[in-house]
Amino acid sequence: MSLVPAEFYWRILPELVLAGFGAVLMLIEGGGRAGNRGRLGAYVALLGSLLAFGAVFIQAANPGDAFQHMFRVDGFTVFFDFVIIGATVVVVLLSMDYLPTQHLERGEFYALLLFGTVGMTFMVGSVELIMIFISLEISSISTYVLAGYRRHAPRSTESSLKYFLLGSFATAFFLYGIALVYGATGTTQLYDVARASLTPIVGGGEADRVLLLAGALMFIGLGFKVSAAPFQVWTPDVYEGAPAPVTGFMSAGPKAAAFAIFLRIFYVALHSSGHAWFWMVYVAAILSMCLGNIAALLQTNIKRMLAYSSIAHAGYVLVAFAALGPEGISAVMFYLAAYVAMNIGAFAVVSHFAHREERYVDVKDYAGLGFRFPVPAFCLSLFLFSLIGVPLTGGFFGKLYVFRAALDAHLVGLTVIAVLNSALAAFYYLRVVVFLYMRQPAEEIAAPPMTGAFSLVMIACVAVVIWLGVFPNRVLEFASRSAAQMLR
Amino acid sequence: MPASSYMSNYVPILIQLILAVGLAVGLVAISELIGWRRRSKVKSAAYECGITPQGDANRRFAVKFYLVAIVFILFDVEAVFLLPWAVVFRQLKWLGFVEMLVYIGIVLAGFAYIWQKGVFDWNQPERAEGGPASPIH
Amino acid sequence: MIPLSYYLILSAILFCIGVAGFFFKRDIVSIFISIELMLNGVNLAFVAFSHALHSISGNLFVFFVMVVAAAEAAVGLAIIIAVVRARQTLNVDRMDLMKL
Repeated sequence: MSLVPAEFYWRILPELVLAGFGAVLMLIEGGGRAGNRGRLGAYVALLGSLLAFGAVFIQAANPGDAFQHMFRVDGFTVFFDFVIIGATVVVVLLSMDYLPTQHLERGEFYALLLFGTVGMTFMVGSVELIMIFISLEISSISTYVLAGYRRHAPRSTESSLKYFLLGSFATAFFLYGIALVYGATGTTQLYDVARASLTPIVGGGEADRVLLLAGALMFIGLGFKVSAAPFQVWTPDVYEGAPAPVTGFMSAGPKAAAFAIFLRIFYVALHSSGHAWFWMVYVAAILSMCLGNIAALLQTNIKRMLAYSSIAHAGYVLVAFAALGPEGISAVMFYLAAYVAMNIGAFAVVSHFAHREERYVDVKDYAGLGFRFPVPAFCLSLFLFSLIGVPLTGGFFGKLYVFRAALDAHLVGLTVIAVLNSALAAFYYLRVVVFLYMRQPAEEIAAPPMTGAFSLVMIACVAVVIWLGVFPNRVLEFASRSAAQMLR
Repeated sequence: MPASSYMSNYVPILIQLILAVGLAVGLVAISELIGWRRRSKVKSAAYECGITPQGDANRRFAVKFYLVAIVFILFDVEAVFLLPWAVVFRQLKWLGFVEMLVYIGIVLAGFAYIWQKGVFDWNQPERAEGGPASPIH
Repeated sequence: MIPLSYYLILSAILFCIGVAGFFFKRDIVSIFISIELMLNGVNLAFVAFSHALHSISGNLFVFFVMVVAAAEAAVGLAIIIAVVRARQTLNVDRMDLMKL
């Protein structure tokens, strides 16, 4: 082991680019006294995330393992890298509008965004539990700070505190799970764990039980991160208090990354005890869908409503997860891609209308906006329809594949519950659309200008949602191929 | 090794523990029971090595100290990675050296950031919002 | 030789004390210390396993966990200071601007 092969660095190129740009941003922000550092930071971050997006192509051209089999580039990694870095690009664009409105424009915001993305992309590529733990923490710690970025607003700091306390609590459970896996099998490399779990070190049925306990602990930890019930308590408060673009980011990047490692750990490393953890997933799926949707019906704050809806969507993803097969994995992947696009889009419109101090985030504030601001209102309706699962949108095929995967695995009961839930969910999404187009406004909300950055965000999100809704096949094929690759 | 014989190794420690605790508690109890005391203002004041105590011990510290504490934790713990590296330094050859330089470079970048942010500028009053004040204020 | 199970039981006890502290303490800093206790309970398990399995990697994991815990502590303290500045209290029961 004298020299590290150059491919290793090509395989982690997106992460290197993001980390480098993040560090440069910090140095720019620290140095100099120019007035426009925030703006400069935004452009640097945009350049960095776009370059990282491009670097994923180079990464994809160099598949294989890197660094003592701790990192693996396969279709799965590449797919999630595209989703996560794409989300980051959109959030950077969105923040270019949002931060000046709130008088918060500082370079650190973008640096934290990039560092968080480094953590998430490392997470999806890691096939070693300690690497996964560290990258999970990199992503979480950045997000904790971002959630409290409006630090003079008590709600924002409160949201940050809640996220931090519950997040680190969950991480401790996850870490305990890792320790038990290490103890039972003597390794933390996922594929080695899978091999060793067949002939465990601790011996006999005892190791099986240890691995099962480890699985349960890791399930708690990851359940928190993907905000699946019964570990969802933090979600509404944190989503409500955090700055709107950050909420969009939190509901997309960390969630997709957490589901990715969820898949890798449970489908690969803990494959041998699948029959046991299947029931955990099953129960969590039902609870998340029902709790999320019923609570969302009662909300008037739109950010809070979307928070509960994100719990419900975690439930749908878990339905596909319970299918225990390559179809389940590809359905999860497709669903997450569609979900990220439509959810960030929805939060983009919310942050567009939020105004100073996030004054307008109630459903009532949206009354009559459909005619005053036709373009953002139309986009919001499209994203909401996609969240419902109306045909010609990405959400439709996402749900279709999830239900199909569940039915193929003979989970009829679970599928019925999921279908009933998506019907229920239509109520609260449609209520927003009704307010947009059919209610008279009580108060004229100030007109936010349609900037270039916001237009780009809308174009990108709408394009992805429509594309996934009209031509889903290529993405689905890619997802199925990488699912098969991952299980090998 | 059976647990009973294994635990028997600890009996001397247990005896010592009982003796130590018993002695301490006993002495205090005896002086409490048979001693007499006169209270005075000077006697009940906090002992500050002979200097007259001033102010309340619960007074508030400037937030700057927290900032220094936070920074200290980070840089203190980051040095932990130097330890395993130093143990196998010879086997790692130049590659290990270069990688450690990169690592230290990253840590130094963080250091440069907090320096420029004015965390070490203890004499300055808190600067106005929007300027390059420390991020916590 | 102290058997492995003793260490594991101790580590589980530490972890559970941390969990209990997380649920029953009302002071933010105490809650935070409880979380650190949980992490250190896990660290003990790592070291014990590392010793029992004769594999050095468990010890290395502890280094990484320590560094991560320090980073968490730094960010946590910063967040706590921000909260105190905004609210003048450290009691979690008062963190109720947003409720179900």
